[in-house]
Amino acid sequence: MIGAFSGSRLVKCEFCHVNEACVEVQQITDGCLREVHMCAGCAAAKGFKSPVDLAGLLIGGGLFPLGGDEPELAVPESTAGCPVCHMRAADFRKTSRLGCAHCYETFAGLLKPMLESMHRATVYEGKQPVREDVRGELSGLKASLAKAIRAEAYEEAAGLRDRIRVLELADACLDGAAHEGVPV
Amino acid sequence: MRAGMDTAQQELPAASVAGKVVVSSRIRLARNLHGKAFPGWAGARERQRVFEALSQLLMDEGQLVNPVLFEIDTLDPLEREILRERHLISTELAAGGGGTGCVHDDATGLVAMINEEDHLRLQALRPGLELEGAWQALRRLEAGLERHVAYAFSPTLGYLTACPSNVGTGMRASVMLHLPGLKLLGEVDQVVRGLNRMGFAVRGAFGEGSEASGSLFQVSNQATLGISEDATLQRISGIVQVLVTLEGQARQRLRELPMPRLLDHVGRIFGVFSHAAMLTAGEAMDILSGLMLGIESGMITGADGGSLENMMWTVQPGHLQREARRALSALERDVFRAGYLRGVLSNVQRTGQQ
Repeated sequence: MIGAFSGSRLVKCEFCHVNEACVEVQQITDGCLREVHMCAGCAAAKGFKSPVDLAGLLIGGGLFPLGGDEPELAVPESTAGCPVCHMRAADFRKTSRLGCAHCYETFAGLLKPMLESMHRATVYEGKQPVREDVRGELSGLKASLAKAIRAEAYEEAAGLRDRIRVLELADACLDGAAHEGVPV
Repeated sequence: MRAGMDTAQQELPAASVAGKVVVSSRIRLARNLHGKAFPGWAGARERQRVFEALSQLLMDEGQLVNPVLFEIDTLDPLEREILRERHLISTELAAGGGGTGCVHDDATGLVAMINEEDHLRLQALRPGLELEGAWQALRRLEAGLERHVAYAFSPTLGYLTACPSNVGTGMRASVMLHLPGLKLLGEVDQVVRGLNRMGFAVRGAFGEGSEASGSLFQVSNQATLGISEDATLQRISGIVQVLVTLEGQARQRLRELPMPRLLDHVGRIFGVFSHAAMLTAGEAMDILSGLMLGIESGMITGADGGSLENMMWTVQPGHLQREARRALSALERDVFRAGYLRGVLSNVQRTGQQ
């Protein structure tokens, strides 16, 4: 039995362990009834778009793995895996966890619908790490400096150059700290 | 039990009154190290190296006043359970092996889980509604660490996390609420559905998959992408104000009902509290919640809301076994819990007020 899940129990998705489950699937395996709960994001990641799709897949003979074999999925994927950490799409689907930062590029196609479903957004809108702040300001100042020189506003250019020197030093410090501070 | 556990055993700050709705505030940030495989995919040696480096960094971090390091594989099951019940580590980390742990600083309410799902889960806990204070403390800790490490970050996706559900700000802001009025009136399910539709997650106080015992509910943001940290905190603060208002109205309606619904509820709670020979943790939490409601409405005396609230934690399996000074089976715990509750709350009485 498959359907939207809205009981009074507060149940986490059994795949991402983060979101509330909103889809409930009852499956009989080896004579035992098992209930599986998952969120919309994980359902989408596994190629299920609605209870109707779920029903189709169930009747079609293959549900997602409950510790068993890999299922047939509708989501297109690369078989090559991540060039940095070698995680494959199948590994990601099994755990719903990525292997490294680069996986976000490797599995961008697989992740996009998940991100849309989980966050209703795909673009970041938060604060920048200190380094990004420094670099962002640096590139802005360098553009202003070029403009000031073109306009022969030398007093303004001198001020900008001083600020650029400070920020370049800050960037170099952060670079050194990030790569030498912790031997990991 | 080792000396280091002491800081994790202190009572939660009990600055509450029985009628209070907001119990505590919590914010966590998920962060990973640039250029390192995420913990769940990293090899055991790499995980261990990251653990050693990050734990050393945290122990030396100036933002932490008196940091204590817990290495999960050196803790016995009871110690892990106590840390989990105190929300210092997650259920996932409690089951962790080598190269996982946490650094806790009781003075600042800051705790950093290392090699849970992400390399770092930085968390600030505060009693009552204090998201801003929690956020400022977390920012300082995060910035302090950033002097020594580079976080995995993408300009378009933000902070990169092992689970895509956390990518972006990596921030989960959560407020624990005591909502006995809404629960008693049978309106909680409707409110929870509304919150879910609005993009908030609602969980019980401990673990998931069970009823929200003790009428305690944790409300947190779901989205971490497409919304800034400040906007997330504003949204949570806004919805908490709404829930506090709804709960206040529910308690008022309960008092004004023509049928003695509240009187019946508190009376039944007091009956079970007085006579039960065995109590599960969930039942004990429901009793504590009912007694708080009884104190607020003048039907119960002999305890204050703060101690009752703190007992929500001390009736949990780990804390209870620490109290008993021995390992107890589930049934033995239920027997011990019933006696423990009456022992600690021996002054609690039912007043004649109707």
